[in-house]
Formats: sequence, C-alpha cells, structure tokens
Amino acid sequence: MTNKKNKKNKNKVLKEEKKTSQLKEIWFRLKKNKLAVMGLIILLILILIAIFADLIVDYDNVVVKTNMPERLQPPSGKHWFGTDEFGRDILARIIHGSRVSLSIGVIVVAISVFFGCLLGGIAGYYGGMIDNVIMRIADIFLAIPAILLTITIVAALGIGMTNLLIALVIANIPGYTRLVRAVVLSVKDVEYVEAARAIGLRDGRIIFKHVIANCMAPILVNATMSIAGTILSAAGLSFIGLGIQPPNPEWGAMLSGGRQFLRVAPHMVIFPGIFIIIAVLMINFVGDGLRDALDPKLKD
Amino acid sequence: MDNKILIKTKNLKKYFKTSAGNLHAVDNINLNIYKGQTLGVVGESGCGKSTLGRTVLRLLEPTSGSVIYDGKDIIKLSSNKMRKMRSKMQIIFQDPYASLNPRMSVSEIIMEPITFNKIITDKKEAYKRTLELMDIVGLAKRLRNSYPHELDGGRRQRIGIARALALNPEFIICDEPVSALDVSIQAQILNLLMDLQEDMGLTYMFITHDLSVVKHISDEIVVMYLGKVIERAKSDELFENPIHPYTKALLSAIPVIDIDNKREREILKGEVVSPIEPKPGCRFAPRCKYAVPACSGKELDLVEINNGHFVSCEVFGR
Amino acid sequence: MSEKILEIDNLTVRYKSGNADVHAVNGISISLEKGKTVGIVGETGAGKTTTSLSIMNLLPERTGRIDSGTIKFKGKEILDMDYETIRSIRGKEISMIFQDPMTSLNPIFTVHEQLSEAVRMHSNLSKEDIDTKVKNVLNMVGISENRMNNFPHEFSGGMKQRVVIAMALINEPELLIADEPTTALDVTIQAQVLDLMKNLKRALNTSMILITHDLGVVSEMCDEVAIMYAGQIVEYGSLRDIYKGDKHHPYTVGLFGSIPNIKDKSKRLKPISGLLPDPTKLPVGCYFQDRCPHVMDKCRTIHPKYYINDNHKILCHLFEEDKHGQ
Repeated sequence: MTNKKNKKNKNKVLKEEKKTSQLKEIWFRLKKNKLAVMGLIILLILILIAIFADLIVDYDNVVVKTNMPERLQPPSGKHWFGTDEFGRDILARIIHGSRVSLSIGVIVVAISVFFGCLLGGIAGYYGGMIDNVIMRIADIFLAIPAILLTITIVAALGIGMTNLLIALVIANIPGYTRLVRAVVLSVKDVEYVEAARAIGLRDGRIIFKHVIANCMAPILVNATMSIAGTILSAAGLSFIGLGIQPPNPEWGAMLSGGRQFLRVAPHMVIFPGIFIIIAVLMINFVGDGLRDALDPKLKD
Repeated sequence: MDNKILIKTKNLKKYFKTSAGNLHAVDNINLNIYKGQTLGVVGESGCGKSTLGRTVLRLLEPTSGSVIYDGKDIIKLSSNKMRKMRSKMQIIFQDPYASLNPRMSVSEIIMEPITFNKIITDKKEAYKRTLELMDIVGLAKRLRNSYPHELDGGRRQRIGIARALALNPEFIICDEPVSALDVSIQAQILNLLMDLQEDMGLTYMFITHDLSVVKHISDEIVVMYLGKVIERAKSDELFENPIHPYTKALLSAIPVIDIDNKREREILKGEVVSPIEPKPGCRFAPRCKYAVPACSGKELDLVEINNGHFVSCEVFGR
Repeated sequence: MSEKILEIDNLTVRYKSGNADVHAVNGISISLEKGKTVGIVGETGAGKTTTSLSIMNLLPERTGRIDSGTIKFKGKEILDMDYETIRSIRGKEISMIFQDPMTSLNPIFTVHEQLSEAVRMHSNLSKEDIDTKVKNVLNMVGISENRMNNFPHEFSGGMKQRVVIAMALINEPELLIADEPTTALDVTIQAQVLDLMKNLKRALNTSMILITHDLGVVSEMCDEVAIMYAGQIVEYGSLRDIYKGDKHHPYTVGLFGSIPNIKDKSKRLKPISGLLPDPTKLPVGCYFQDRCPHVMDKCRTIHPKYYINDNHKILCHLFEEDKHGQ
C-alpha cells in the first residue's frame, strides 16, 4: 500500500520536474539573448503604461480637451513632448494612444495568424481540391491592394474600432495562409509526419503538433514584422477618417495628423514616430529571441 | 503450412503518376507473412521495397489489390476504422534523424501514441508505461526529457522502436532500420529487434538493401527488382541455392570478409532501367547475360521450383 | 625498400567547439608505400575524415587546428607549405573522392566542363589536348563520350560516382584519398565501382587511402589496415594481420563480431556495448575502457603503449607482457 503510494508520488515528482524544466529551459535560453530581454522589459513597460494610462493622466481633461492658448508648443518643462494643434499634451496622448495602437497590432496579428495556420495548414496538408479552393480565394484577396481592401471592408461594415479590427484581420489572413501553406509543404513529407500517421493520430493533431509546430520560425518572424505594419495600416485608416475617430488618440493617427505641421512643430511627428519604432523594434527582438528559444536544436 | 498467415497481399499494385507515364513502384505483389516470423524484403534503391512497406500499412493508398490482415481486407476499411487498426501494425523508419519530431522530448514522443489512442487513459499510468518502454528498448531513464537531436543515431532508433511498441502491435514493418547506423550500433539494434520478437511474438517485415543483415534476421526472404518479386525462398535456401540471375549477382556483389576465400565476382553490367511504363516481360532481361528472346513479351509468374522456393525466370525457373 | 609516398607521424588535431576542445585525432602515424592501399576503418566520430582533410591541408581554418605531428608527402612537409604550393598539389598529385556523388559535382556545369576545368587548373595544355584527356579518362571509367556534355543530374548515382572518380584521376595523381567512396551506392553498383577502382589503381600505380566503415570493402581493396577508435589507431597491420592474425585489439574483435556473417548463421551478434567516449572529455588511460570486455585496473589509469610485432601494432595493455617475452 505504502509502496504504491510512494510510486505514485515519485511519478508525480517526475512529471512536475519535467514541466517546470521545459519552461525553465525556454526561459533560460531566452535570457541568454540580451536583445530579447531588453525588448521584453521595454514592451512590459509599454504594456503597463497602456494598462494604467487612466491613473497616469486624466483622459477627459488632458488628452481630448482642446487648449487653444497652448497650441503647437515645442517640448518644455510643462509639456515634455510639446503640444499639438489643439494644445493637447503629446506625452499624455501617446500614453493613452498606446492602448489602441498596441492592442490593434497584437490582436489583429494573433487572430490572422490563427486563421492563417488553420487555412494554410489544411491547404498544405491535404492538397488537391481543398488546396485549390482555399488558395484561389486567397489569391483573389491578395490581388486587391491591402489598404483598398480594408477601406472597402470598413466602408461596408461601418466605422468603429471593432470593424477596423475585422477589416485588418481579413486583409491579413490571405498572406498568412500563403506563408503557412508554403512552410507546411516543406515539412509534411518528413518521416516523423508519416510516423504520426502510422501511430493513428487524428489529422488535426498532426497538422498542429507535428507540422505547424515545426514551421513556427518563419511564421513567428513574419508575425512580429507585421505587428508593425498593422499599427501603420491602422494609422493610415485613422488618417483618412475610417479608423480611430478624433479626438481619441492613436499613435498612427497622431503621426498622420502632425504631418501638415511638420515645418512648424516637428515634435508632433517625431515623438509618436519614436514610439512606433520602439514598439515595433522591441516586438521584433522578442520575436527573434522567442524563435531561437523555442527551437530545441539551438540549445547552446 | 504449419503456421498461421497474419498478413497476405493479393495482386497489390501501387503506381505513381508522373509526367512520363505511370511509375510501377509496386507491381502485382503477392506475399504471405506468417505470424511470429520475419519476412525479409531485399532489393536495391528504386526497386519499390519501401513503397511496398508503406502500401501494406496503407500509409499509401494502393492503386489496386488488397492487403488482408488476420482475414480482414484493410484496404476496404473506413479511415476511422483504419486508424484503430494502426495500433496493430507499426513501422520503424530508416532515418532516425527525420522520423522524430525535433520539438518533442523523448518521453513525449513515446507517450503520444499511448494517450492519443487511449491505450491508457490515466496520464500517470501512461507516463509509467512510457518509462517502462524506455527500459525495454534500453534507453536510460535520465534521457526522458532530452530532445532527439541531442542523442546519437542508435539511441534515436531506440526511441523509434519504443514509439512503435507503445501501441502493443502484432506486426512491425522495419524499413531499413539499421542502414543509417554504425556497425557496432547496428548489431545492438538488430539484437534488440530479435529479442523483442522473441519476447512479444512480433511479426516483422524487414526491408533492407543489406543482404548480410537480412539473412541474419529473416525466416523467409523475397528479392525485389523494379517493383516485382523475382525470387522467394526460406532464408538459408536462398543464400545456398540462389536461382534467379539477379539474386546470384546480388549475392556475389557483397564484399566478403574472408580474405582467403575470394570468389570470382559476377559484376553486373549496366544499371536499373526506368520503372516508368515498363514493357511486359522480365524486367531484369536487359542486364541479364542469360537472356533469351522469350524473356520479354509476356508477364512472368513466380513458379515453385522446390519446396517453398519460388522464382520468376524464363531460363532457370522451369 | 620501395618509395614512401606518405608518412604521417604523431598527428594530433583538435577542433574548437564553444568552450571545449574536441580531440578529433590523437597522435596517429601511418606510412604508405607507392602503389599500396591503406584502409582506415572506424565508426562515425573516429577521426577518419579529419585525418584525410589534414593530409590535404583542408581543415576548417577557424575551428580546426593541428596541434602536433608531421605529414610528409614524398619527403616534403605538407604542413609547412604555403597556400600556392599546397594548391598546386591538391587535385594534381593528391586528389580526393568524397562519399556523396550527388553533392561533389557542381550541378550547373556539364561533366565535360568540370573535367576540363580540373585539367586546366594544373597545366597549360591546349584545348585539343585537354579534350583528348577528358575523353580518355571517361573511357577509362566506362562513360561513353556522347554523354560528356550532360549535366550531373542526368546521370544515375553509380554513373555520377564514376564521374567523380574520373575527376580525381584525370591528373594522374600519385595519392588518392577515397572517403567512403561506395557507401551511398547499391551493392551491385558498389561492386562495379570497386572493380573499376582496383583496375585503375593497378594501371596508374596510384597509392590510395581508403576510408570506410565496411570491413568487406577493405578486404577487397587494401594491403594494410588501420583501425581507428576515438582518434587513435588502435590496431595497424597487413590485411592478413587484421583478418587472420591471432592477436587483436578488443575493439577490432568487437567490430568483426558486429557484422552479420553470411556464411554461418549464429543467431545473436556480439556487438560492442556502449558508445564512443565524448571527444571533448576523453578518459584517463585507454579510450576504449568503458566498452572493453577485458578491462583491467591499469586501463583506467595508464594510457597503453603499442604492442609491436613486425608491422602489426596493437594499442592495448593486454599484450604488453608478450612484447617483452618475444
């Protein structure tokens, strides 16, 4: 009786040891990559700022309320990043804008990667008719310029944050489908996939666990890159009035809005631009580091 | 026959479509594999031996013909029923580097078939079974969290064997399981496979190009050439008394270790011809020095020469 | 006594790998007479290929390092040669055949172009002369002239290996290093290629180093054999010493025991247990100690010396007493 119990305990220990050690190992490998750690820290700060934006600055009084006497002021002790054409503090707007910008980038990419994996995985793994149907539809979408596509979709669905997200997701999916299909094709004929079929696994598990898991590197890199692109697309849409509606702040919209004052108040463009660059760069560093850390082959 | 037939193929064909026409990878093959025995399949690259193995397991759908497992034609099974059948028939692959998912640890690889086929539903019990399997194939417990690329070829091949055993199969296809390994490791794995056969009563189909290995492990051997079986006999009989000219050439091509008894070698002229839309007749005829006009023009059948020794040859098989 | 074409003395090669040194070759000595073939036998990681790369002075520059030893080719030290001198020897006086015929030919040039390039590198022959030479060598390896303008991918594996051999022999080298030349080929094709190599060697009186793991191939081709283990030659001798002699290194015994023999059907093989030692942390004493059935206390502390009987050398403690007795 006690013997049995001991055995059970021992097994439990074995199992836990395994789980923690795997996560630990990934973390250990990620930690070695200095750029990734830096990226992670800065991103964390940005995310914390986004979460606690309301505690840092008062939205109604500072972020959206016009203050014409102080319009277009250069950076100063009072307004660190200067003010915009309505006299609103740019730092405050950037802090609140981070909410929208970061979440648009991450949410859109996450959802489109998921659907891209699903569709691309199915198309690449099964081939034949299904492949043809999925890829021809993707081709049709890819033939239309992405920005035109999003404009059309937003125009059709109506203006608003949710519709903007939907439009960006739809515009992103075909590209991912194509990418995932290509990498799936390169992996699906490897023997371990055949082995997975031989042990009687279901197709869904084979596609995700054995095929796509081994295609993650190019997908991850692509995803991090396109978070940046998505933030910029959202900015463009905001600029032509289809995205985030003024006076709500959004980095891209601020950047676009500042363009006409480039000569008199360059800070209106510089600071939002810097934040977009920082966010995008850090996301890329983390993505790169994650790709290496997740690959058990690159242990040293 | 004193033994029970576990697997039987009937007129099994697998053609691949190519731009130049049909490639006859497996052409009208009839096999009997007896329970608890090993059938060796020998041939050179491109003779269709690996395709045969995969078609028998239905990893490839045959063009026509049937595979009868324990009285049931598995080619007719629905994909759901087939998936359940798979636990009875397993495969060990040639390349221990390509046949293991690089992102899964040793224990994950071995446990996956157990949990997903619900052989054991309790996770703890399944993990216990995993460690037991590692022990059976001679993998140290400390390797359970290692990844395949950290291990050498022999150990990786042991993982592949443990994964195949996880489902308690009756029949295992060994597709060149030792070709990628060093000789000393090769011997370890061959011994392991033979021990497992003895302990668990497994039936093997052993595919290889290495004649000395196949003789060592097989009860019966079939020799394949361009998608066809050209000779079939008990292992000892085939090596002592080869009849088909190709088998003879194949045997004489093995470099011998005995330096005092050098035989005169029979060097084959030319190379294997294309298996795309072959003309009827003996496929070996273009390279055969005994070829007569009657060798081409009609399909040859395997003819029983003496007790259990079959040959398909116009000249010697009469 | 005939001319020594190659003398390797106490060669030691290390690779840098991260923070550790990989002890790839640990003090080996080989000498090869003109027209003879020496076989280097061993398993993956034994240091066979490193040895052959050292002879060509082709070790990877950043990571590979020759720690000590000399390699004399026709009496001249290869390791002291400058780049131009060694380049003029490579491919002309010493040439190499690699294991994989698929990757050792350039896919975008025809066979004729690649062969004539190999000639042009080392001579000032006219276009016509080069042409005849190419045709001759193709003839020798049994490839018909009308296929010489084909690209490598238009040949089968065995034919490609013939092209590779033609390329290695076109400048009539004095030393040919063949690194697993038939491992990628089918048995019947292997028999063809080995036969071809034997005949060509005889015709040109080339000396050869044959690197292989296949004891059968060695018995067909070689005059002398070196058995390598963990970067050392554990046994060296004539073909007869190794295949028929009564004293052997335990590793040699294990190698022979691992091969299924066609002649007799003993049911179980007698493999060597265990694995190669980690080449970054070689043990004190004999490198084979953990896998050896005859291991003694001193094997774990003292590095063995060669037992020498004429040309037959064995690196093992088992025979040390015998040496004094003789």
